[in-house]
Amino acid sequence: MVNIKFLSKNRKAVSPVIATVLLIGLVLVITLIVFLWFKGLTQEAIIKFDKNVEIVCDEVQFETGYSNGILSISNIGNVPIYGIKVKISENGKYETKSLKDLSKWPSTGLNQGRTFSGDISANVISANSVTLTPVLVGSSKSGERTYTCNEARYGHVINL
Amino acid sequence: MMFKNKKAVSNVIGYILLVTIAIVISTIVFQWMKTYVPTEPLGCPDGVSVFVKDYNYNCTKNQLNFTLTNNGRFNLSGYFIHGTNSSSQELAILDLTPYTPIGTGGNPDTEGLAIFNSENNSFGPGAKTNNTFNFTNSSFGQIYSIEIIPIRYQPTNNNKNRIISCSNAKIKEIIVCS
Repeated sequence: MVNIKFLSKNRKAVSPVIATVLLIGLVLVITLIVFLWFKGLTQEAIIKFDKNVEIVCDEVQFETGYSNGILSISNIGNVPIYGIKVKISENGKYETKSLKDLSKWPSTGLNQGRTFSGDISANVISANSVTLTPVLVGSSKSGERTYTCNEARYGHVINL
Repeated sequence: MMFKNKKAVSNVIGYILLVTIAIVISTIVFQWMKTYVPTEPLGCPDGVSVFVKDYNYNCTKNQLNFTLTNNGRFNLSGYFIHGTNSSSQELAILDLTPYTPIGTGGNPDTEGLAIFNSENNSFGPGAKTNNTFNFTNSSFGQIYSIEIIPIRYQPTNNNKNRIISCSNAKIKEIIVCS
């Protein structure tokens, strides 16, 4: 009974100023949460030659060859290739490694006009094919970062 | 109070808020998307072309001389040159620039180039140049073929000269002893 009386007669709530401050505070907190969540969803842009590195992958040109266990790569384009991802396929299963781990890849990458050759025979003994995908390096807000180009679009397949 | 105080922000302030929010959102989206806008890649013009007019390969001394002619429409500054030492080698990966006087070395950025004149596309259309390569001290012995990719300096968007590889004008020549 007392409670009903209290509810019906005491109609005071928080003042409009406090309500406004609360609303603004809530909006700010929710905005911050959504911003942090969205930032985590979108990848940080990696820039190379003033463009997104994803676009620069289009300009990468390289030739590959494999003979007697020796893998040869020639960078004939104008984009330095920082690294190569090697996908070794064998009877339906595959394993991806960096060429740095398989052979003596130059530490600064393969600049334009440069060539590479290295023995990878020990790693591809029973493999059916290898796919070579270029890895580029670009700058982002958090410093230099590497980016592996899309394998389906830019990968070179060598059937062994 | 809720029913009686129907005042809100005025129309003008409402519009200003809307326009400001739209501008802020557009700026954010523009900054994010502008890196995805494709620009013309820095490439070689279509009319670049060279050919080996004649060559002389002295297998005893392991010395190669060839005359390179610019039969294209554009000036060039030099070339990348790679070779093979057997017919079974698919890809020319032997860098031959250390064996010629015009080859660059030392600096990893310019290593592997044969340059006629630095920072200058001095090799004009119709020009010929005679280049000598001495492979006496090489580890690979005799060469079987050479591949030449012409290069030229081209200005970038930042007005800096950058070496551009003309891979569409690449030539291959099988070398036999004379």
